[in-house]
Amino acid sequence: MQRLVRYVLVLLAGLPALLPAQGFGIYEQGTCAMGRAGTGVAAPCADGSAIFFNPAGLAGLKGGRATLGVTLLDVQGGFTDDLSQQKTKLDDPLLAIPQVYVAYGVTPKLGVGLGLFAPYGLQTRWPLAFDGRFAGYKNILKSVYVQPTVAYQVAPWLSLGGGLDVVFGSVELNQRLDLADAPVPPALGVPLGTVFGQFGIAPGTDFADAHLEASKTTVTAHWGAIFKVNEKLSIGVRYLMHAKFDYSGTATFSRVPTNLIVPADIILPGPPPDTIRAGTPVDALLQGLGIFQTTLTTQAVTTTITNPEQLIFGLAFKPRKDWTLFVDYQFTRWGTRFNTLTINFANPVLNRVLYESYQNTNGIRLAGEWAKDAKWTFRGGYLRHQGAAPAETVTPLLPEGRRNEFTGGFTVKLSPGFSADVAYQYINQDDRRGRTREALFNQAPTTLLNHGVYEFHAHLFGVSLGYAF
Amino acid sequence: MMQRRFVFAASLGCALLVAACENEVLNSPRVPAYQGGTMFQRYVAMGNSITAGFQSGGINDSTQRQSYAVLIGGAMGGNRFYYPSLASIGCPPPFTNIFTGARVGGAGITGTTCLFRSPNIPPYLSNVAVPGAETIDMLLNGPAPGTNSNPLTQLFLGGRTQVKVMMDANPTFVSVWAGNNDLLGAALAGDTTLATDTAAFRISYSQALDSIEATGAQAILIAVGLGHSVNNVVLPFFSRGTTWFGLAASGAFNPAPFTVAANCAPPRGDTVLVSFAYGFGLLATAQGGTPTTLDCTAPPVIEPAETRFFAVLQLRYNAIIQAQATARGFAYTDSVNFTLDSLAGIANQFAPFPNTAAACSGSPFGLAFSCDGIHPNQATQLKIARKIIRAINAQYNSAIPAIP
Repeated sequence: MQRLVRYVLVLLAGLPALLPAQGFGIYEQGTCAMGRAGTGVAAPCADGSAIFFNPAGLAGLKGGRATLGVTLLDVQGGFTDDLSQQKTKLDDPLLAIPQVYVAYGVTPKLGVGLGLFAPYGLQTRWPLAFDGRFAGYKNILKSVYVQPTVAYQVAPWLSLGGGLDVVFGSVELNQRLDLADAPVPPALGVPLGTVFGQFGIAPGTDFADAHLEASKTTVTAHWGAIFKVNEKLSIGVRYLMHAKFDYSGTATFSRVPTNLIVPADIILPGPPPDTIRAGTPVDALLQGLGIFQTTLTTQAVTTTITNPEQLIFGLAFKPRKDWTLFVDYQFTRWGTRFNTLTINFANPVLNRVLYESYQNTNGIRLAGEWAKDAKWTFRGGYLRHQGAAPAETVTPLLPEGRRNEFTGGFTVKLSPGFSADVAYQYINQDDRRGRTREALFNQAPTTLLNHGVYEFHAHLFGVSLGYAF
Repeated sequence: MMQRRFVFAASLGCALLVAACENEVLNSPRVPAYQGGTMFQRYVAMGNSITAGFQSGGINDSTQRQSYAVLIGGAMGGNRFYYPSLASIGCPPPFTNIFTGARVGGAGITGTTCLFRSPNIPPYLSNVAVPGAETIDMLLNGPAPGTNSNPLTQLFLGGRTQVKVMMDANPTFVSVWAGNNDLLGAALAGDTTLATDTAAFRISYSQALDSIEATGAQAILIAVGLGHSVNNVVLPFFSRGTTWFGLAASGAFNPAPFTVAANCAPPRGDTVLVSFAYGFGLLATAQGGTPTTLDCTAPPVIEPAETRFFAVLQLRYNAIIQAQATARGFAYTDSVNFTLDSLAGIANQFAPFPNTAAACSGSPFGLAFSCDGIHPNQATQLKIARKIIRAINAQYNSAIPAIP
């Protein structure tokens, strides 16, 4: 089992991509729950995923449960520019998210478990021809939670649970630098604040590739409770605390040739006056200015990102013995946790402030589950949630918004010990107006920068195998 | 039964929720509402100093906004017409008095003063014209042989060519007014061998049009010139030898030791052209105390045979342009030349000799020209814009609104 856990940890740490939802939150943490539209805080699935969906759900567990599964994500979307009407499609490959939960009922009242899940993260990849490459063409944020969990049935009507989360965070940002936006070094004798665009360089002229990578491990906690009102009705609540990452890492820069030539002698005012000679390659000019030797050097970079709190309430109601209906409400506290993203470089000239101004989000999840017989259980659901990003910060980093999602799935018992889960989820995000560039000089953006529409939808396919022992 | 009800209720709920989508929409490019307006959604202007908005020996944001191209772009009402706005006083700042050399910005400002572009960099350029450009410069930049790049080529195009920047703007309509400098450069030097020969002109012009055709845009090609030389219309930058001779005879240059040779007298002097730069250069030397003579056979002077050469060359260039327009289904207009022909016949529009007592605000080269005697002033730019719009509407059966 230890080897299995280690394997999954490695797999998650190297996760190729994650699917954002409600900001950069992710809720697809189990195939069974995925078929239920993520509901179940009042009655988690019996596959051990209660470690995420409500730690209190481990109380009363009989025997052990181990679940291994994978969710395949077919993410599609893009950006259509107002002016050109050209659409640039997301470059995300087919993604796979593995999941593992192990839980064990130590006594009829005491349950324990270990889960690995990633409730926050994102990956967006854009082709290098996309104007958004200057904001980020490959953006990855990972938060892998390892959560040892304990749950106890305090009374027949009340179970409590909690877990300590060790969170492995990492962030990667890849972007191109636009020479038109780059400040002209004072060595050229031009007024401070002059950018190369004022020297005629056209917007969209790549001259460098920036790669920022940082990681941090932090600790947080997760709490849950389930109130069993009667045989038909349960009420659940869980609270995942925020996790703050003071990331530190490295920024590296590589040159991208502009292949531009200065066509005529340019007299620079100085002092002292100087002349850029006709025929001088712009790349040689940049080299001569020492931009890659003094400013865009490999250097330390730091930033702070906080995964916000999640608070979920839910009901599970059994109108009939074979039917269960679920309603969950989710609140995510983005408003306090993701306001500005400050990226500090060793060379403060490069420091950046990204104004995100995320808003708290609310989500509602509805689902129904029908236990046809001892072998087959079918489920389906719907959820809708708000977008965390306000209208002025819908960017290539995370062009998210309101979503309607539809799910369906089933569990089949393959043998007394083994069961399999299959689920499908369709995500349809409302088209949102947004922008491809950050505001210059760390200014706060406005919706005036928006110049097109982001669209997004995804098909998710989940399959898992469970073993009861 | 209950199960069926639940399924029905769930389905209904889902349908209602799907209807709750709140998609935001694209802001589609503005389609001008008048007849044929679709063609003018994205207008790009190619050319040289007149198109760029050069006036009074300089260019800045104020003169750029007065360009006929900017006026037409506004009248077309399509996507925003972006020009490479220059910062503050310009590059170089225009003269305020060409005779004293004073320029916008005051003391210390010279013909090499250049404050680069303004910090608001547009996403694309609609006016891609560069002062000093000849036809070859639409296709190539310096230091390639035969090109005429200057600092404004860098500041406006940033290492790209006019054709490249035009194509990057994804135009639906293009105007081309090129060729003036192929002729003017030679005329300023008084050397016909410096003019672009017609074969080279045809090749460069045709290649530029090939690029326009590749974008799918329609175009208007504007004839070379500001008046027909063959009709004896001459830019005020040039004064006739006869005029110089008469002024000297009347004592207008006294007490400077300045004489005008008899070869400037009529009838020969009627078709001899002395450029402002050359004639006033000599006069300045004389005013400095050095006896000086204007000889109307000196190389910088355009002699009768050369005058005829340039008049014929203008006609040949325009024949090439017209043939290209016909072959490609583009509009062609010579109406600007006819307009300038008419203005030349109106008193005070074309000064036969600069009014040295006048600052630029006094229009020393006439009411039709800016303070360098070559480039149209704001009023003439407006007339040019109106003429071109009429020509476009006539060719394409469109209804671009007239500029008031």
